[in-house]
Amino acid sequence: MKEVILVLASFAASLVEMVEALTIVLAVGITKGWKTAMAATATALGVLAAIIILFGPLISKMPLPLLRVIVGTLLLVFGLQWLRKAILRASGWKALHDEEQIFQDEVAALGGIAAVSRIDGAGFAVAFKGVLLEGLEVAFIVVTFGATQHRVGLAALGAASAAVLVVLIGFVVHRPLSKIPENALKMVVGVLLTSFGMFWAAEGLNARWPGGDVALLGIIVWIGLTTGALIVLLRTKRVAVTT
Amino acid sequence: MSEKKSFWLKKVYDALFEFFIGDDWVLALGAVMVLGLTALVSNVIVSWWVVILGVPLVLWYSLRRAT
Repeated sequence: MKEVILVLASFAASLVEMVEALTIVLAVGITKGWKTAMAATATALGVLAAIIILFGPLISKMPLPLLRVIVGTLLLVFGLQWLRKAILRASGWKALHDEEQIFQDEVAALGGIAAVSRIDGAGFAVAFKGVLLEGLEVAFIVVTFGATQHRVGLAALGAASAAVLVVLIGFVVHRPLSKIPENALKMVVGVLLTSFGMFWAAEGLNARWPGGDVALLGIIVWIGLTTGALIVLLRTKRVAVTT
Repeated sequence: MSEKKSFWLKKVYDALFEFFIGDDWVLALGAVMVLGLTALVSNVIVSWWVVILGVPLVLWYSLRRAT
């Protein structure tokens, strides 16, 4: 069961981040040429691979209780960030992530459509930064999530599947993927990261969960219900403020 | 320290802060405090409920600040 959740969480997290990265790469490709966009993407992916190769085995060698406390704390903080943003968006307090708008903004910032055949410095920097920063979040989730269960390969499989899917769709449509329910995915990942973070960090700190590993399912349900309740609460508050 | 070096150090610090702490540092601090409290009481009493109640409370407080 934990393995299925692991793959799903890695897949969903990667899907969200890769859609964001694809939007930036498409904007650079259309405005500054595909050579620039591809070179920047390949370089950023190389840097990401180096980070995973360097830190993956290092994390896996830590004693398990210490690993659980460190990774659990990081996942909890990270998951709460995602959850906070997703709740604010779902309740109308923050604008929804609009890939179409981001795409148009990036195109405008890069000086409109005027593709060139050589590698463009500014375009390279924008695409490299976009892929690296979005990819870092995926790498972080894959390495920490996978390492704690000694299943980095399985987590990487989830991430790679999402990458293939996004690249294929991007290749076919050549437009930002605005139809993906990004906020809902972000919320699901936020719930999972927060739940895993709570479970592992508390276990590493000597707290004994009732029912052992099964408690994880209970935590996921609890955080899911809390998220739903907070959305309802904030929607009500927003209606009261605006009327 | 040269101006260029401090500029890049600040850039790295900002990127790390944005990556790990995000929009609300109170949320990160609150989560760490909940875990700290769990560690403190875990050898004395059953402590899992501290995390179960503490984390949603911290999230609620952070959202309350934002709205």
